[in-house]
Amino acid sequence: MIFSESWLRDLCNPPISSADLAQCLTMAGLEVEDVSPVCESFSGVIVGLITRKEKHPNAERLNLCQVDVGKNKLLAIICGAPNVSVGMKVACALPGAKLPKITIKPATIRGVDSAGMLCSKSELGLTEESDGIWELPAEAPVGDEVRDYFDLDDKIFSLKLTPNRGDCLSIHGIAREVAAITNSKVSFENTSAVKPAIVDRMSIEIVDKEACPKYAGRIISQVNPNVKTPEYIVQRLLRSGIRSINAVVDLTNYVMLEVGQPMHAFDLDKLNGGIVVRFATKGEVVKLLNGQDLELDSDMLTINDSKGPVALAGIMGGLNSSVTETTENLFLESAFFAADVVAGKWRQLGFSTDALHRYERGVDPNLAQSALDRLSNLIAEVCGGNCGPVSVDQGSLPNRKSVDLRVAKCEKVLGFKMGSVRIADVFQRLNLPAQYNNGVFSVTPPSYRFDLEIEEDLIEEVARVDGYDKLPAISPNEGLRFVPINKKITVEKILRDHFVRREYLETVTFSFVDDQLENDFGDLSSERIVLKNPISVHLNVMRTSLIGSLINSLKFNVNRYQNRVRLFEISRVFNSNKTKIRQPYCCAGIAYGGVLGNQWGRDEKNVDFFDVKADLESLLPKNEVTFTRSSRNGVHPGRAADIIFNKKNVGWVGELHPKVLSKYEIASSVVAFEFQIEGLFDLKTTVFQKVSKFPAVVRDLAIVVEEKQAAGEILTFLNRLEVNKVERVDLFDVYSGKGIDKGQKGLAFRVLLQDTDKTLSDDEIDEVIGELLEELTRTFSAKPRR
Amino acid sequence: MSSGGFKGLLFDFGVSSLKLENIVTRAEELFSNAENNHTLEQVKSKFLGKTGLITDQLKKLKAVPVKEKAKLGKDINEAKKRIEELLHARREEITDAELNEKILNSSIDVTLPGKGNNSIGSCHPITQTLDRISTLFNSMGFSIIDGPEIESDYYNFTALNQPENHPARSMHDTFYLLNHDFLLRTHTSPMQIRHMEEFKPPLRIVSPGRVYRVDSDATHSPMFHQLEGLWVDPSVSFANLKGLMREFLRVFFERDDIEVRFRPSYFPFTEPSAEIDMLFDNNWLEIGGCGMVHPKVLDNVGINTESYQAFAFGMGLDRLAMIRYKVEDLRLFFESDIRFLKQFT
Repeated sequence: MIFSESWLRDLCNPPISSADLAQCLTMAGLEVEDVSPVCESFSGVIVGLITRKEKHPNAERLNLCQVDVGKNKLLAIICGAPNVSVGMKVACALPGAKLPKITIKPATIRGVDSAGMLCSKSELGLTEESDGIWELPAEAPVGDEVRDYFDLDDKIFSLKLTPNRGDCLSIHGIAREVAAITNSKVSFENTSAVKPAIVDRMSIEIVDKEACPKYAGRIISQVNPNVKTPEYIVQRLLRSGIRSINAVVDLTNYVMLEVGQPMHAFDLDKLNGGIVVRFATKGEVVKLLNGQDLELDSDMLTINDSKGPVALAGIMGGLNSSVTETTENLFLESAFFAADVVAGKWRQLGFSTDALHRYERGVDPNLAQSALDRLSNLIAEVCGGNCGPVSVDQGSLPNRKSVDLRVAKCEKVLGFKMGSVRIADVFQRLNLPAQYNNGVFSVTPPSYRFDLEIEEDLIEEVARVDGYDKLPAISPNEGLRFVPINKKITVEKILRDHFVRREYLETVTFSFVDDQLENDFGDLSSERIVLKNPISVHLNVMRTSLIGSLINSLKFNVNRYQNRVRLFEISRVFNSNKTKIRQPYCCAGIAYGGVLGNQWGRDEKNVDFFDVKADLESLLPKNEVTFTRSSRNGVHPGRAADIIFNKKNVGWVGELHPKVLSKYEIASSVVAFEFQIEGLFDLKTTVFQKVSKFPAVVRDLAIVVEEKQAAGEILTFLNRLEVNKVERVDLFDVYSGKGIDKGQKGLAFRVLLQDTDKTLSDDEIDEVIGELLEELTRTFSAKPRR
Repeated sequence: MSSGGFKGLLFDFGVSSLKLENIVTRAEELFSNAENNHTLEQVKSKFLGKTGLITDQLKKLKAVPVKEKAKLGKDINEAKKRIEELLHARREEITDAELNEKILNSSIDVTLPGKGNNSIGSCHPITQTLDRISTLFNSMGFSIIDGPEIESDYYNFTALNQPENHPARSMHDTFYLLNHDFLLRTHTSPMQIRHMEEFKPPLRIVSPGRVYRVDSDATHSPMFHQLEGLWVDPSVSFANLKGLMREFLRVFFERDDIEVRFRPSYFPFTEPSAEIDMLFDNNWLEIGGCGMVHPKVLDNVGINTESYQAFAFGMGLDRLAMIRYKVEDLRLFFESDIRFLKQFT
């Protein structure tokens, strides 16, 4: 809602500055987003009348004008604009006038004196572009300051109104509010009842009286279609963001801005028969004012004549019955439509209107008739014409129930002792009729305050008008209790600490991605979850994997000449099968470029599968995690492993597919991982194992197995084997080539043996190693090496 | 042995003590001339070797009369002992000097950078901000809970007193899913409902997370972060809410001179409602919205509004992070630019 400050001050004029007024409104919940002057400052510009115009003796394109500037003073002014004519009222800058960009001095132009300047709008800073000398309205009094005549010291206020305050979508509403919060007087012009000059009336029938509880209308005949809208109304409309169209439409808009009642003027001669208000039949079509042929639905309320829909109720009139520059006879509509009828329709229609915006938030149901009178009077005054009597059809208007406010409850909710006197003062300032009895105020809200329905609404009014700044800030001091430990947060912290220590940078990326990233890296077993209204076609799919986003991030950095990137993200991913949507949290990372970065005295190598696998091995308890060969979308088929933890497949690690990477113009390899963090919720608490006092013994065990045999399987097997005294087995060498048959490979393990009770003897050690070898031979057909 | 020999020895004996003295002096002299252990060992053999001077003296002792033998023997042994001591001392001196030289020669340029894994990554500034806030609310007895981002219309709107077509819905530009009757949550407030449905009051929770709105420019991102707070209790009040918010901001920004204001506003799910603004460099910045939970919302989850009062608040995490780290463009948070991320180690 934007409005003119001076219009407001005509109704309610508290003795405070514009800035303070803005502050008051903001602190009362009517947030002022902006206050800006109507135009830049200038001085010394008055209304002048061109009384004579002749060609400049020495210049073809210039005119020498004689300008009456009042007080019997005539000035000779040279002007180059083509649109000056005798009898025209102009903005005349006198010598000494200060315009936004220049100061006017008497001048001699081609040998002829010029005592001032005729101004265009742009020279006065009213518009950006100039279209010749500004022609002032004929009624502008010669000699008056242009600034005063157009009220150019006015300021425009922009309000960001919350949707509950439909009552403030008019200058009357704002004036009422300002009066309450500044405790000052407000006075509205009285609308006198219209005395009918003709007897013509329109028949009105409301079919659905719940959707339209009241519909009033009046015929005005023989209006003058060529009348110009009075300048002060044009200015007020402009300063409220509405362009002037023609007198009838302007006045209709003006009354809407003034009192808050949207109304519509039909060209009576284009209506056929009486008005019927009813819901549309599906498939009916109405041609709207904006030129659109709208196919109607059965939930759309329409205004009809005998031939069908002529307007969309409470939203927009029809083109065919609209007022034009030839309209002489009018039918004015002023109705109350229930909010439900228009609510949310802007979403369906793809546009909104001032009327829709107001009806959706609630229009005062008691306003229809007085607003109609106000509009009728204005039209008669400006355009002439003869008003007919009012026709009305109506059902039952909403009845305002009284709302109780218990002083004790109010004080409990607000948290301090306010007292009934202070509360009564608020009601009085808001002009809310309130009866006090035994600790309870009974308040009957006026018809325009839709938002006051329950006790809490009144409590808010009390706190708001009294001032939120007067509300004490009291630290809550309630029973303390322990907060249970949150597994997800604990695991997330462990993950963040871990990957940060291993040089990964945490990133946050959008949860929606490009289709293509999902094709290349997503979980293809999930159905796509697609946004109906994405912000861009490249951000339209909810991601099933974080890898695509990380590749995007990598690409962003590679394009900025970064050659070493490690990123990780913890976020939900989204997948769907049939109708069920799952949203598990995942942790994913990518590593690209050198392992350590360039360092002196050390050869750099690119990160490979095993570097990143180590990042995961160091995270998970060694004995409970295994890696098995896997294949998945977007990943190198021979260089990927599933992560099996607690017997569950929690995720994977692998080199991304070179072919897919080349599509993203990423030249060197990228190793990635991704796992669901819920899989790690079972991280066990350590159970202490006795540390032996006796020295541990290390023995190496070298074997030869089939080349295809996965080394990890053997290692896991050895570590899980419950052979007495074997503490741990590590793999320390993989060998093929000289001394090993083709199709075979050598593996070397380091076995740590330990007895908690004694030092192991050589015999005992040999026995254990023999036992391990035997098991390996049995299970993997392993042979001892050499 | 001839008497001449004996005589000789006797004669020699007269000068023999002197001779032993001379041997020792000579040894000392030669030892200190030895520059390294190898030379020293060679010199040593001249005195203590099989044909060395001391060995020679011992051999000659056999011929000395018993009467003098004991004293002379003792003198020889003493001389030998002294030479050994001198040798040992010189040996240490040489070893020390050699080691010193070796150490001196092995100095390195300590200003060269360290090697191996010499840097760490970083947590995202929004995560760091969230951690900080969570810790603060945790210390006030708030549990931290988490909820779905793909949400139903009921939890996102209807249960929060925004039935279909409520004009407040136009305050949020909502992302809807194709082929599913769901949306992306526009705020973290649905977690109020989910939590109150599941648990009985008194309750004290905060729920952080990602939220989504169809909006994108320097100050708006289609995805951003909020933190929702809820306190349900028999008597918690609007004044308490103001107190808690003020105190939180004071501790979060570690400043006692903060200026916070409570500005009337409107949310369908709170009544009374307020915006929390904080003054930075003479500008009021919106930190979040809050209010007393609307009785209809409490009704929706079966909480008696006469026995319980509740307040709720929602804060923009990104906004708080922007203020804390003086980041001016919101989009930087979501670009993954490592030159940006690396600053938050």
